[in-house]
Amino acid sequence: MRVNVEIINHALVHAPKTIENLNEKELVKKMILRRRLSRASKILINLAHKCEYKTGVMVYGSAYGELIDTVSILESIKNENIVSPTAFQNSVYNTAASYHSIVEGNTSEILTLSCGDSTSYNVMQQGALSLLKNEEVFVSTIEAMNFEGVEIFNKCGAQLEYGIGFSIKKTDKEANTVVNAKEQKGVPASLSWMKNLYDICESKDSVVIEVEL
Amino acid sequence: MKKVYINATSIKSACGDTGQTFDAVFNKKSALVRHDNIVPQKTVCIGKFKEKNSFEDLLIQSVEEVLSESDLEDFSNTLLLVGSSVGGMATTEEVLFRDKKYDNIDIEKHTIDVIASTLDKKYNFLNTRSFSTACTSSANALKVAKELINYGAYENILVVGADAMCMTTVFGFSSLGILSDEMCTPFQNNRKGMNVAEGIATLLVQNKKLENSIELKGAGTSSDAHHIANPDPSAAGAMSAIKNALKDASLTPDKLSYVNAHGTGTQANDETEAKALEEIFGKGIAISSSKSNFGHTLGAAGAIEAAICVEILKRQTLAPQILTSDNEKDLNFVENATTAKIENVLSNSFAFGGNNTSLIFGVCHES
Amino acid sequence: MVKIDTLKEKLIEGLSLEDIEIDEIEDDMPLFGDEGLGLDSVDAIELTLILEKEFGVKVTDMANAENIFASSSSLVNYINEQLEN
Repeated sequence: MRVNVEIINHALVHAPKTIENLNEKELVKKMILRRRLSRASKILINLAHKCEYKTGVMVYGSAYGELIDTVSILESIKNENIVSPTAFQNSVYNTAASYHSIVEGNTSEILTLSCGDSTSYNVMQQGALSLLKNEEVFVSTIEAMNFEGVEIFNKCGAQLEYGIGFSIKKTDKEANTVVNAKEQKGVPASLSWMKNLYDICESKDSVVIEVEL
Repeated sequence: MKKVYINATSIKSACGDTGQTFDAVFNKKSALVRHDNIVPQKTVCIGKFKEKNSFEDLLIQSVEEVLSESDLEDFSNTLLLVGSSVGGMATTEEVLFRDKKYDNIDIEKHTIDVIASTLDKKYNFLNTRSFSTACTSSANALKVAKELINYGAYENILVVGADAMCMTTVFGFSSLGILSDEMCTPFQNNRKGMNVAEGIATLLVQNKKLENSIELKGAGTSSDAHHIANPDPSAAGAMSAIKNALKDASLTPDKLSYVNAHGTGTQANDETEAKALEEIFGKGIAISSSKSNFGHTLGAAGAIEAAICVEILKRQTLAPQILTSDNEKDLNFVENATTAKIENVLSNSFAFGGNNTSLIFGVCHES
Repeated sequence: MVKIDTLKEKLIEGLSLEDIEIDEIEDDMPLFGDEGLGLDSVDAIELTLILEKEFGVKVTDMANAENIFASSSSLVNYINEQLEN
C-alpha cells in the first residue's frame, strides 16, 4: 500500500565533530531543562524548529542512539564507579524525541525507530502511516556519535553529528520524484535516504514522493 | 478497516518457556532471584533466563514456535516488527568487560537492529522494522502492526519483543534508586521498586480470523511531556493512552473485564497508574501485574504481557497477582486465578520519556 | 571546613548547571522545586554522589533529606557537621 507524501519543510545540520550554532539557549530558555539535553536532543529541537514543527505526531530515528551516555555508563561499570542516573535516563533511544516533547509540551504520539542503515527510510514509512490519521507529521533521523574512541568504529569516515528532518503531509498530488538510498561521502549510512531526499528538496519547489507502507 | 487477529504466541521469560510462563502467572509463582554479587554493596532482585542457550538461540526458538503453530509455510509474506530497548547491548558488554577495550566490539551487533537482522537472515521476511521506545517498545510495535493490518497494507506481521539482561540496565535502574532487592509488589503499600528482567515474546498478527484467534481491538498512545524518567503524577498521559485505546476499539470502560497493568513496583509508576485506572474504570475492574512473576522485561514487556492477555481470554480466566500486603487505593487486585466471562482486556505499558501505550484485546464474535 | 562557595562550584559542575555564577545561587535559595533553582529527584541522587565523591560524606539520614538538601547553606552545614564527627 502506498501513500503520497508532500514535503512541507526540510532541515539539515551536520559537522565533522560537533555542530555549532544549534541555538539551544534561544530554543530552550529554561536552563534547568536545557542542561540535561543530549546532543541528539539539541539537534532534534533545532531541526523541528527550522521546520516550524512544535506539537503533533513525531517519528524519530537513530541507528546508534545515545552513544555518549551509553559509553559513559559502560565506562562507569567497567571502572567500578557509580553509574550516573542522569546518564542512564538519557541513554534510551527515544531520549531526543522525549526531550523535544517536554520542551514543546507535545502530548501526541511519538515513535522512535532504530533500523541500522535503513533507519531514515523506515522512519519515513512510519511517518507515512501516521499521516493516515494525522494532518501533519515530523520525521527525522539523527546520529550523534562524538564520543572518545569513536575512531575505532568510524571506518567509513562519516561526520560524527548529522541530523535531517522533514515536516510532511498526505497529498492526492502525483509523486514528482523518486528517492534512492545511494550513500554519500561523510553521511552516516542510516541517513543516506533522507540526505538524498533533502538534496531533492533543495533543488525543487514542491516535492511529492510515493511511500510504500 | 480490516480487523486484526493474534493467531499464535510464544514466550521466553525467567519462568521458562510459554507453558512454564503461563503456569507461573496463573499459579502465582515467581522466578525472580536475589543477587549480592552484581552491584557492589547492594542486593538486586532480577529475572534471568533459566535456559543456558544463547539469546540468539532463544530468539529463534521463540519464532520457530510461532511459525509451527501458525498457518504459514514460511515468513516470506510477513513483515517483522521488533521492539527492544537494549538491542545487542549484552554482546557489547560481554566483549568490553572481557577485553577492557572497545577494539573488538562489532558496532553492528550492538544496535537495536541486530535482532531484526539476525531473524531476517534466517527467515527472509518481506521487510523488517525496529522500534526502541524503552519500556513501550514492543507495545508500540503491536500498535503499528494493528494499524498496518487495519489499512490492509500487510496480511501477516510478526511482532517480536526482546530484551537481554545487561549490566547497563541493572546498574542504571539501581543508580536511580528504583531497583528492588526483593520480588516486586506492584501497587502494594510495601513496594520497594522494580526487577529488571530479560524476556522474549513473539506474536503472529494477521488479518485472518482462525478458530483460536483473539482480536487486537484497540491501541492508544500519548506522551506525558513531563519528565525524562518520572511519570506525570497527574496521570493525564496514562489516562490519555487508555482513552485513546478505548476510542480505537469503540468500547466504553464498562466493556472491559480486566487490566494487565504496567505495574512495575515503583512508587511513581504504580501511584500514577492506579490513579488513571481508578479514574477511568472505578474501583471494580480486576487488575493484576505479571511483573512479580517474571520481572520487568523492558522493551519486551508489551509483547510478553500481550501474550498473557491473549491466554487470559483463551482460558477465560483472570490472572492473579502475587499479593503480600494491602494496596493504597483499595483497588480490585486478582488474588487467585478466577474463571469469568471475559470479553475484553487492557494491557498498559509506560516508558521513560513519558511514552504511554495501551492495548485492548478481546474475544472475537463475528463469523 | 568546606566553604559554601566551594560547594556551589561543585553543584554547578556536577549537575551541569549552565550560565550561572556562584553568586547567583543565594545561600538560602531553595535548591529544589520551581520556586528556587529547580532541581529534581534525579538531581537529589546525583547530589548524594557528589557529596560522597567531592567531600567524602555519605548521606545516611535519607528521611531528613528534604531538610539537608533544602538550600546551599543547609547542605554545607550538613557536610561540615559530618566531617567534624
